[in-house]
Amino acid sequence: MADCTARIEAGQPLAEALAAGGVVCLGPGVHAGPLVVSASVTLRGEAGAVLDAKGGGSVVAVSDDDLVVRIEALTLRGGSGEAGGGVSLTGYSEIVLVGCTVEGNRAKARGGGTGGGGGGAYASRGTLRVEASTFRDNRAAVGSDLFVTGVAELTVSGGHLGGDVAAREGAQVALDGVAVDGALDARGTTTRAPTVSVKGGRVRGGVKNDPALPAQVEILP
Amino acid sequence: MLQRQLQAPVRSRKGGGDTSGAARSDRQSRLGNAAVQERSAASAPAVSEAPQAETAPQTFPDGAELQEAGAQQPLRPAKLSKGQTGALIGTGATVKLTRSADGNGRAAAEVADGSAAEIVSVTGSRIKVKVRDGEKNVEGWVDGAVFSDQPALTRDEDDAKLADDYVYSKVEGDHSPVNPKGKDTAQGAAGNCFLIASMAAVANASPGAIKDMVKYDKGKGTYTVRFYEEQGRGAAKPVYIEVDGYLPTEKANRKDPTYAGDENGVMWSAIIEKAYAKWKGGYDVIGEGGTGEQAMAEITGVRSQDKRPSSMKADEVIPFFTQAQKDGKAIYAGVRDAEKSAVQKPFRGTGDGPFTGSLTHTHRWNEIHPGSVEISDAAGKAGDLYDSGSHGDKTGKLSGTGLRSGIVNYKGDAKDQIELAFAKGKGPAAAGDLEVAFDYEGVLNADKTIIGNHAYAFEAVVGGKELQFYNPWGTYQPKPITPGEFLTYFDSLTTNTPPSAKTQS
Repeated sequence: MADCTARIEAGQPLAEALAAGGVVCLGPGVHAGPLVVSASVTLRGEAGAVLDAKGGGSVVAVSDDDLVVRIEALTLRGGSGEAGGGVSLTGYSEIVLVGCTVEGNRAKARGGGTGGGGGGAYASRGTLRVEASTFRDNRAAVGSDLFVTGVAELTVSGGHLGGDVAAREGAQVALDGVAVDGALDARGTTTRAPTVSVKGGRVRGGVKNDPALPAQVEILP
Repeated sequence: MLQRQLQAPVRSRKGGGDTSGAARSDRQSRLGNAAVQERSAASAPAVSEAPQAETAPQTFPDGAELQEAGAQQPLRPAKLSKGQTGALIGTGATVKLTRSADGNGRAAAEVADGSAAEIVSVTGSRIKVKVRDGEKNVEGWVDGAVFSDQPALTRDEDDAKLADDYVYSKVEGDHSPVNPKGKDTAQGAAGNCFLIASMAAVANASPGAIKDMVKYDKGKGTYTVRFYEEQGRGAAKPVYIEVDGYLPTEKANRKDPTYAGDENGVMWSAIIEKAYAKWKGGYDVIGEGGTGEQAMAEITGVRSQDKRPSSMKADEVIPFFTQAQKDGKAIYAGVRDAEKSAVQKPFRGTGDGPFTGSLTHTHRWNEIHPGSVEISDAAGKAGDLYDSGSHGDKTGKLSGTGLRSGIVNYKGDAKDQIELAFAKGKGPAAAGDLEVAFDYEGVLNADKTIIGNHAYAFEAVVGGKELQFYNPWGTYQPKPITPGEFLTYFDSLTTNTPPSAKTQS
């Protein structure tokens, strides 16, 4: 690809290219995760490129601030973590997924024993943008595909989510033209409420807004 | 069930779990011990300076002088409204609900004092409430004055029996933290080890930070607990939650607290947990799970820092913990949820089957991680098989080339855990050729007592080469582990630098 600043074949180490930033292109095949990203970077997958954490942590984790991490046309799989098996965003940064497949990841709750928030992706700060991507076979006790909490923002445009989306605390969620097979589960606390906007698309499992701790929900045609 | 065990096992009263042995009996009289630990006004908590510029110095809102001891009364809500959750706390052993709003006529139910309740409707000073009475939900009318402002235990109909087993009971005295230590904490029935481990980690690093959270009003018998809520980058605001000294206990034994506490009657973690549950919406809500990253920040007002074990090398582990401890950081670490088993050959059978066999676990709590079973023929005749189950399934279906039928019983309560049969001519040459590998959940390392899908608080570097963690259950403490074991079993590591405490003059 013409604008790649580095091209990595499957099996080659990624860390150095990631740290350098720019546009890192990943060749076909399975690349080893998990990745902790500490510099703004674009990860671009060629056809058949897979990033697999093999259960060793979140496939892609960003906890630093002021980064822009763009992930294009990659399959993210095999991630596991306390929250966010596929993608974990806990810094004031932006992660953008474009044309990605996020599958077979899991999160867990420390106490409950079976899954936590955001098998596919989790964000507690910053902005997570998901465009024309597919989430499937991700597992978590809450928000099997996507879980946003704290002060994070989530926007999903187009694409398909095979599982659930959950919003907690003061998170902001906007779904635009997304096909969601699961439910959109929203709940605040006694001091704040998440905001949820659904425009077009469908949420097959319905919007579950906890009546005791309601979110601000807006459903648009 | 494993899930129950991974809540604190000695108080896993929703069913299952390890309720046997000395650990359980240790807890029987904890509130009895707690009740005699009256403290003086001189031990009122100090208020710390702001941990960072982003959080302004805090003072408690009531600021009232401590009053002479008065009878501890349950907190009553300022306003009664539909949908409110709390408990019915009157003056007797039971509370009577009537079928009519005016309190006359036939009784709808008579429930134990302290029973959890939800307001269904309000008419003047009378309220209609929904309570659990044995195996069923009952609605009836009571005087609004008996409704107390308490965190919900559960709003899940599937778990409604919990609301019948547990009642709120009064814990006498001041249980705000005096000299808090991580070892004071012990998780209860809620699946919230993320919170209890966070408290323990902060207490280990900065006892003053825990002490500063809680202010006891002796006159009212209530505690005001301060948390922080992150508002955005560099902005956290304090949140003050007032709770009384009533704690959920077993109805059959009101000295046995349901949720957090400790073996020696030091109950500050139960007070903080209760306030946290009230803030977030109920014990059931905080039992949903959470992260140490968030919980420690909510306790200290300082943003936590993630350090991924996957990005560490073995020779970096001890220096990292040593430096973090030297820097006064609270350290929280989480264990992955599953580990790979050794290859096993459990099958009996001939020809194309059926073949049956049960897997061997390294600990009695362990179970198969659904969807992880792989069966292969070491001689290469039969095809590879995989299971397709997921969490919540009791069984998983096997699939693969040449398979006629196959099932895995994840819970291991069947005589044979795996049963399979091949299509004609597709079976192995011998049952002993079939090998099974799987991921298991539960105690990931039985020798070191490392519990999977669980959070721990760091205690110390031992002998310069091993790490000692604290299990927030208060029991099943791990042995010191090597850096290699840390990297094998732990998948999250979070630090937080609590503000240094400054005693209030």
